[in-house]
Amino acid sequence: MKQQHNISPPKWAIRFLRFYCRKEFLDEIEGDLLEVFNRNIKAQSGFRSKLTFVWSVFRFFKWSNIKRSNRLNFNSTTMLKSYFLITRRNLLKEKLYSLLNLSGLYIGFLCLILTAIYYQQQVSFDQHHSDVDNTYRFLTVDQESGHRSSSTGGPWAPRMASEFPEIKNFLRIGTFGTSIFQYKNERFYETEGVLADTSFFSIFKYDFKWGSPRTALVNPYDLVLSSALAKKYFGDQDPIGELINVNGKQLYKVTGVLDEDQLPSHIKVNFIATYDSDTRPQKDDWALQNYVSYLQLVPDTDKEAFKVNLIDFFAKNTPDNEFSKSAKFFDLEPLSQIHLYSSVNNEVPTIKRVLTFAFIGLLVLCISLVNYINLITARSTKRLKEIGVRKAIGARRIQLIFQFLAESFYICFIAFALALLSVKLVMPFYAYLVNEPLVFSFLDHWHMILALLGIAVLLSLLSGIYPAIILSSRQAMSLLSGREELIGSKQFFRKILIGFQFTISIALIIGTSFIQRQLYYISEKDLGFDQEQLMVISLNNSSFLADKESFAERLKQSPFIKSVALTGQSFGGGDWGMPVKFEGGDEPQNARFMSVDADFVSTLSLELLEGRNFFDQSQADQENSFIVNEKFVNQVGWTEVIGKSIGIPSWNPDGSYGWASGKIVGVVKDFNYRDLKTNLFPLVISNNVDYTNMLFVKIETGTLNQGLEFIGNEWAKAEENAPFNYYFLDDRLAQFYEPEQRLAKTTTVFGGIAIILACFGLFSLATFMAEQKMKEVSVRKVLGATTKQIFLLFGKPFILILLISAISAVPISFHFLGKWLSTFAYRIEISDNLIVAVLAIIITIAIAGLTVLYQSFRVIKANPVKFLRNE
Amino acid sequence: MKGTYLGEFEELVLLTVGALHPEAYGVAIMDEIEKEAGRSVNISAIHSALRRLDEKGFVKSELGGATTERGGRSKRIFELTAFGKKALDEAQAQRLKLYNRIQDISFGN
Repeated sequence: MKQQHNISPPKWAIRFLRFYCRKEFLDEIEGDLLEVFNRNIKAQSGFRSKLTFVWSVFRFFKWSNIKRSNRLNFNSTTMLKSYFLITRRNLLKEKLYSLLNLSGLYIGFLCLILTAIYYQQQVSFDQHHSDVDNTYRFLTVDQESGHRSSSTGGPWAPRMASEFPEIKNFLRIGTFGTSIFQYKNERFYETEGVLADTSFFSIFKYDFKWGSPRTALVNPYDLVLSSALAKKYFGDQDPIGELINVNGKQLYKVTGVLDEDQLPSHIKVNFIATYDSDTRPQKDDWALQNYVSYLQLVPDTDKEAFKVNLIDFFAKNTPDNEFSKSAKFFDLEPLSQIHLYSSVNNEVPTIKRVLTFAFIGLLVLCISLVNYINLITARSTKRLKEIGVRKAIGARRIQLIFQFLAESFYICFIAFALALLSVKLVMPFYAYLVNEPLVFSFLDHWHMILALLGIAVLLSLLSGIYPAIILSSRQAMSLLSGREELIGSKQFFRKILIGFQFTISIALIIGTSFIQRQLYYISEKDLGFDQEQLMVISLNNSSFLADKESFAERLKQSPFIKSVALTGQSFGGGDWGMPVKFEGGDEPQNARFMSVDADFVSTLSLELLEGRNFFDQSQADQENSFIVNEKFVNQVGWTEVIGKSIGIPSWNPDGSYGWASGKIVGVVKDFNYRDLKTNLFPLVISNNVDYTNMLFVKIETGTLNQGLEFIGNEWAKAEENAPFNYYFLDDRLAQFYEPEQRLAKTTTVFGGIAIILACFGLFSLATFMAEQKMKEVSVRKVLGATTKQIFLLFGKPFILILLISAISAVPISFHFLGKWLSTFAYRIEISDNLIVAVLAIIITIAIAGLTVLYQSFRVIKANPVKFLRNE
Repeated sequence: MKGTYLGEFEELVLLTVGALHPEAYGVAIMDEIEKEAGRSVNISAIHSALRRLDEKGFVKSELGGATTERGGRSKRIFELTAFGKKALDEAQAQRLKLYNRIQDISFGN
């Protein structure tokens, strides 16, 4: 090959061309390219010629010119195709098995995906805020009890910020209280509102539907609404600048509407008003702890030293009186951990619930995989001939293993794809169970989907490996001669797997029954008062709060109303405590406190054990008499109670504190006005109508509608602004156990799924065993075995598996149940309810028995001739 | 044989193949098109068009001689098939028919 010129085209370009180009086109293409190049070189610079050459080489790089895949590649794709074909044929050949197999895996993967979505949503809480790593919630820690509280005084945060340069920014959030919103003619009660500093949106990042974080909450009486609230009043209109009348007193300007669903935060609000909208002087009281404070620190602050400095700071600034004496530590709770790990006010950290759900979800996945392994091994015994033939024509063991893994992969992939496609359908139900607004979209979750796909592939390989190894280990001769009929004829491994499935299923079902039983116990428990037909009306925002007694009197006139009481304590929620001094005691003790009127005891049908009720409308009584509960008496240890004097704190008009003392006139039987998770506290009831703000109305049996109508009319006559708002006490109390109700539903659903999956596995084992035993049973029949004997022969292994599962499930479920029950102060004892566990086991075994029954009949009815004629 | 539709560029290449007979190969066709139609095209475009024409059965080809200019690589010489000639005739006739109608209208005025 001679060149006329010194310059030759770039070697690498030619090599590239030769690499990709098909043999049959290479000559003409390379020839033409060289001819053009050699001609160009005479007319143009070498560089331009080379550039044209390279450009042309790339222009030739197209599908029609590119070599078809090489032989090695070609072969393995063919093999994969063949595996796919064999898999498909096998799936179609035995449709029932395939259906069980796929649906089992499908359920498992569905659980995996849902759990992952839920988990991801939970850990994403508050992670989006701008300076999340340096933002903390300020906590006080009681030195004695270790009780952690997020309540802080209004002036604390600004004073700290001016004292400590470490604090870059602070934010206070206080509750707004239930309020009446009026826009044009729409008037509703609104709850879950907060007051917040202007810094709210510089510390917390929120998406806005309308308005902007920079212009929201700047001036007093600025208001930011949740999207739901905005929709309620303004529909889909832009509400920025609209004025809402709050509590009939003050106009608030809407400055923003949140779009809160995408960025989950531990702060749940319906509306936010500017901190300075609150003009009451109490908000600057050092001791009144009505606010939650957030501090944003300068990066790399030494937090331990800072906390120590805080102790000095508070020692210096706290006014000296006996209500603020209790020593405190301070703690900074990272914003990113509040949602999952916070245990403020003795809350159970959310992470526990998240882990419970994740655990149950993964348990189901586990069962479904075990199920899959079971079904695969059961079916593969029918493919021994196929394996024998493959071996005989020279398949190596590794190729067989690869074939089974490929099959496993195909099936898992189909199940996973189906699960992924249908996840949106099941999502609302799952979101209801976990009580979170879950969202899922392929676009936003693609990284998670990829990770899950990876996990699914890994799981498919793991679950395929056992059958693959077992099946490929046989000798071709023995497989083809039919002598080695069945693999691992004892089926020990499969029995263990099925035992494992049933252990979990039975444990879940025992758990479900006990949870239901506990919930029933709570709903039926005598709370010590009569909650039937008891209506609660809040007077907080009504204009006649000062005139509440005459309103109560008017209601009492109705024939539909049995009695009416005024009280300052709602039932089912929190309560408030205060120190009580008592005769003969030195140190004040803590007790809960309640202000009521004289009708309280009769309206709630409380039982007076000793002494008397309060006197009606008696001024002397109001000031000086108390009723206490049994617990109080026990705690103090008095034998003679009536007439003893106790003292409670009272506020003097000048703002100082003192003790107001009075006599105990009665002892009431303990009644549980909170929820049954908390123990009863010593309680002091005072007859002071000034501190009451709600009505308990007992309606006559059978006249509920007339009673409601009457009260509604009376309300409308007395009150123009506030809408008539009420609830029934028994409904409210039931709401307290909603998380438990959800847990009960969850365990029921997943327990059901678990037992269905376990039955799939059992069914496959039974089918397999039936085939295996046919010859044996036939011989026995010919020799005169009775139906009963055959049934026992066939059924014995299953009964054994179920019994062992039941025995191992009991301690597992009792362990977890004991933990769960200990969150209730009032609970059933496991040892008293063993019958529940026994029933759960019997039900499970009955379901399992039905599954096996069909195959048992097949064995019993089998015609011996059919199975023996081959011998 | 795929669809027998003749694209504009394909028609040009096909005409050139016929005109250059018996010396029609890649580079020669490219040069001729540049000379006659003033269109500068990349050699790969010529090859693609030729391959499409070959698939449609308008041209046939055989490997021809190698020159030193070509680094010893042989040429692929293209030749119009009867079917290709017919396609060109039809295209020409169709065009002529329409063209004649333009003349009618312009003289009729």
